[in-house]
Amino acid sequence: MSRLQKQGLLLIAIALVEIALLANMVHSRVGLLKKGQEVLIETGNFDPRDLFRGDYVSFNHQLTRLSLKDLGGDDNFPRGSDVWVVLEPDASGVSRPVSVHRDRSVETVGTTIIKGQVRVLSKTSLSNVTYGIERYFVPEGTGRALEQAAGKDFFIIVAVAPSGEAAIKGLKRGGKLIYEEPLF
Amino acid sequence: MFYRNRLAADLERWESSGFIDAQTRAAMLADAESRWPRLELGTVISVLAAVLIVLGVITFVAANWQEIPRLWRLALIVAVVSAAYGSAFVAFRASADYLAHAAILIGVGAFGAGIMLISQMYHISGDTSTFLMMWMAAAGITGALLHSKPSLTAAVLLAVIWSYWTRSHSGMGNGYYHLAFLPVAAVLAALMWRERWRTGIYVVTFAVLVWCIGNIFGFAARLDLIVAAGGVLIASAPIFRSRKPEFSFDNLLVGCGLVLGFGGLIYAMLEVAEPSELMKYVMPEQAGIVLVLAIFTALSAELTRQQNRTHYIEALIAMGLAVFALFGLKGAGKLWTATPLYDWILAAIALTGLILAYRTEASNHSRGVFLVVSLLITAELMVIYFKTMGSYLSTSAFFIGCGLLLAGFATTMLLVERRKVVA
Repeated sequence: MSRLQKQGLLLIAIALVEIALLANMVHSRVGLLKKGQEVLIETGNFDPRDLFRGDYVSFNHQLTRLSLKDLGGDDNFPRGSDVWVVLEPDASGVSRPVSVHRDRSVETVGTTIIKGQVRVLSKTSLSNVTYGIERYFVPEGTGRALEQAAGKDFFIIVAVAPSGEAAIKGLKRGGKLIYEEPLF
Repeated sequence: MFYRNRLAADLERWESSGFIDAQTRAAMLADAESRWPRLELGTVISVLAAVLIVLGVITFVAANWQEIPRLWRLALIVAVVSAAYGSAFVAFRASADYLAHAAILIGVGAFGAGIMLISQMYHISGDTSTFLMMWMAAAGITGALLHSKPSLTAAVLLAVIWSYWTRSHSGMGNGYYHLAFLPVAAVLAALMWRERWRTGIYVVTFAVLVWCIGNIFGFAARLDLIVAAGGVLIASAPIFRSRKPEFSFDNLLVGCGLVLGFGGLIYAMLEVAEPSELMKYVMPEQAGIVLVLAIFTALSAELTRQQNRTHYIEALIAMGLAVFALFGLKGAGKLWTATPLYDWILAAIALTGLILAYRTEASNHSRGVFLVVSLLITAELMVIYFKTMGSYLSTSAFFIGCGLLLAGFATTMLLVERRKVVA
């Protein structure tokens, strides 16, 4: 095989692997949005800018800070560790945390369990817990408008996979769906 | 020491030993220089074009432009990846290796833009570190398989960004060391070594220094300054060591000038409204990084020590021009919405100055200054990227327009060189 043929084959292989990786990313997110269990989470927001992905609205939702004394489950978490939060819908259909655990080995009949990561912790609370649903990317310059329009009663609709992985599925304000995430 | 310098030194020695006369020495050097591959400039310009196009694609993604449906945007990115690798093959077939490596760099960059586009499409916020690692791995593997130095350099840059991002988003605070960076840096250094590319080794060394400073700063405030200052002193030592016994004032001047020029440029990148407010906002962490960059600059000065020194002056003028233009950009920040043309003119002046400096240095084979000017251009592009030319879309258009222009220039150069060879 000549050097040029080898280079050609390598270039084709690299292009195919890279395109396959991109396709796999899309496939896994579409699967999560399609099949994941849907929960509604109350949130506030503000908008900064990401280095690679442009403007976004950052959600400061109610699962970001968890008060250990008000929740069941475990109470000793190392910083940076994974946490599993059990959610239960209240009378209005909004999912609220009921317990927080160090591992996945908890019964979830009639409830949803979402996986997060602890950033800051104290003896009584976990702060800045992230779930991968904290950023909502918007067209350039429109973040502030969305923030002002959001006001109170602003919710994110989240799809949660059995593994606890979560994805933003839509936005709701005052019971009205204002955005629904297309699959493609 | 590079071939030209070694040859010049040898010829001088042979002349003084009486093996050849002055006329023969000059004729031999002129003959060697006339056969010197001028494609160095082509490499630089084509890689610069690739960097501009990649920045343009990333900025296009960041614009999150809704006029084009997101699936079409993704298809566009996949098309860019495929076209880039296809172009690389065509360039390899035409024995235009430097154009091929530039195209590979575009492919690697567009792949990263694709990752970021998908994470933007699906609002994925928690996996940025994994995405950066994936991008870095793709750049490293592509660079290793295709012996592509620009891709390997991109992998080093991405490794630094990946490490910084992971550490700053870990929530672990001070005392957390992102040790995973070190084996990655070792692998990248081994790949540079395999390519027998000395500049690549320097780039990895520089990345490790930046990592050290970033991590040490978390351990103890101000320690980074002491370490960096010590590093500068050690790195500056060779500048004072002249091959000839007498003290070399111009080396010192050049070293200081380059350090000041480079430091000034980085300072200009800090978030300040006016140059007069500069010192108020300088954080120890940033000062540490400036000092590490100064070490690198001093090493570059040492690398170019044996060169014809008039080139240093040209490089300094280019840097001064860049710093001036950057301050202009900063000052114009408030007026951007009113006078976008002003920004374009300033940015164009700065870029033109730097490209002219490249050209001058290229014709004189001064690679050390090349390296410094390359870093300056990168810094300049980063500033434009962060500040944006009015909006993401217009910045993207600016980058892609400049990139295509330079790509056309590099291709024309190749054709002219080929015609000369045939003639």
